[in-house]
Amino acid sequence: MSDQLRMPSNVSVDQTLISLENVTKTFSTPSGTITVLSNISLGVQRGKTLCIVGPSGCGKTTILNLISGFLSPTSGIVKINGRRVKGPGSDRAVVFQRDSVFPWLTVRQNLEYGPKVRGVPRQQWAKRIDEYLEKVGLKDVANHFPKQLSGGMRKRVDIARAYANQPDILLMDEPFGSLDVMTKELMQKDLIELSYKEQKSLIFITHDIEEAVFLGDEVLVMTRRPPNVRKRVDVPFAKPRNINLKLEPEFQVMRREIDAVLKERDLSA
Amino acid sequence: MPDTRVIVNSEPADARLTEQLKWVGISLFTLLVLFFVWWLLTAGIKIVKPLYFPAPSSVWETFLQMHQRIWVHALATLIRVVVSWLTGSLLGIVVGLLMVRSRFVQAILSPVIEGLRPIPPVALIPLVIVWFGVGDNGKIFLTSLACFMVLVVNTVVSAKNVNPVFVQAARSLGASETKIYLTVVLPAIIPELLSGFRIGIALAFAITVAAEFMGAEYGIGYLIMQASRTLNTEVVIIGTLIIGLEAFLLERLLQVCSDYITRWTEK
Repeated sequence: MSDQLRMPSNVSVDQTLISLENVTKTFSTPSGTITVLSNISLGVQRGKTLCIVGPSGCGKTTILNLISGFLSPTSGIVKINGRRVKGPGSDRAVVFQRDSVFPWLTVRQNLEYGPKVRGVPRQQWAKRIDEYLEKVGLKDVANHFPKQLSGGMRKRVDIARAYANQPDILLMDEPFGSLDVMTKELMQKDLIELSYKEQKSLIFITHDIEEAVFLGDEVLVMTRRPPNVRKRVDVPFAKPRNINLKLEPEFQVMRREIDAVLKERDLSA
Repeated sequence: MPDTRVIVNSEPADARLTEQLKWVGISLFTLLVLFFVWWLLTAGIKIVKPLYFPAPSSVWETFLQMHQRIWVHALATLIRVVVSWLTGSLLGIVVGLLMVRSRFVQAILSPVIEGLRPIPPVALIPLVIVWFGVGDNGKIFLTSLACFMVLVVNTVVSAKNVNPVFVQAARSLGASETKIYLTVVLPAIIPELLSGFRIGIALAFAITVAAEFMGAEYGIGYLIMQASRTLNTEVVIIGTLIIGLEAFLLERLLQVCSDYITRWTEK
């Protein structure tokens, strides 16, 4: 109550940045109409991380494509900051599972791409690019081409490029899916530090439950049969999180809980 | 910082140079063998008549006698080729990109392009002579047209094969549709376009020389045709060698440029 009183009247109390209201998405194929999402509603608050876990084909990538604006819903409303999504925009940066770093640009040029292509004057971002290069450990390879980098480093470029464009929202679709276990863990550690410092809303899709619990403030569990029956799990661990959290008993309990939700649904089908 | 592995080519530079020299040496040896066979057949055992194929020494003598007159022809052909190769190819890229960008442009141009494409450009020479006369314009027009066709098709096909993930990434970073074509599609297809440029070189020489055969005041094609009418085989051979040399040098130049332009590709 006292919090609300101190709030200036012109600022909305509602901190929901991303919202899906009764969203249904169907695709028509030669063999009939497929319902990928039916009547989904969800909200993500400013500065929070939502992880979505589920088997392939449960519609998690479709949710991401609806928010990024690459797809539009068959029915229902997708809103960003209270405004209806009409198409892709630079307020939402996407990190894909596949390598989307531009191979013809150097690491630095990749990071500069977003602000440059949007016509932002150089003095507004020149320093920022250097900061991000430093933050993600790419300073020494700033003038290298992506082909000279390992898979993990290329993913760093991809993530740094998304952050350097200063979006409100980051949408990541299994970005670490193709990395080896060691690299993946390092990337998770770096991402949690970066997302904690930046206070951006992040939606992170994965099929790795451990990754979801480690990165998320909330985990959305999706299943294929029955479609989209889901559970929201609040992850109580304080941020910034240390990689050792993964060894704590509470972490393991939560991981098992989500695992159970996933398996239960699939067994009952 | 962890995971800062950088993949570098660890081969020492001088070892690579020695390796390269070895291959260049082998290629030069082939040329030497060919030259020896030429000498052997014409001057050594003399089983080929000079009218059909003169000996190296007599070609060389003819060259020494007339070399001051040759340069103007060599230069005329080279300039025609380079000018039309570059304008035709660059126009082809621009039009190709416009066709991929807009269905409207594609609907207008594709019947024209598809209709003209199967016609051998050489078949248009008589028409072009009627239109432009025997000067530079007609030859440049025809050669440009041929290079244009190669690059327009090359651009349309390769632009359609650009990995969609790059286009999506650019779009989500805030690039407009036009910017996507200039900053993603165009750089992504450059390696394919360069092979179109390579095909263009051979084509440009073929068509320019053919057009010079049919009517010109200067040019290697004109020189060869004149010499052939007077059964001056030496000059025919000199002309042919000059075309080969010019095409070779142009291709080497293109190679050096493309190695630099495509230094980002995985080779």
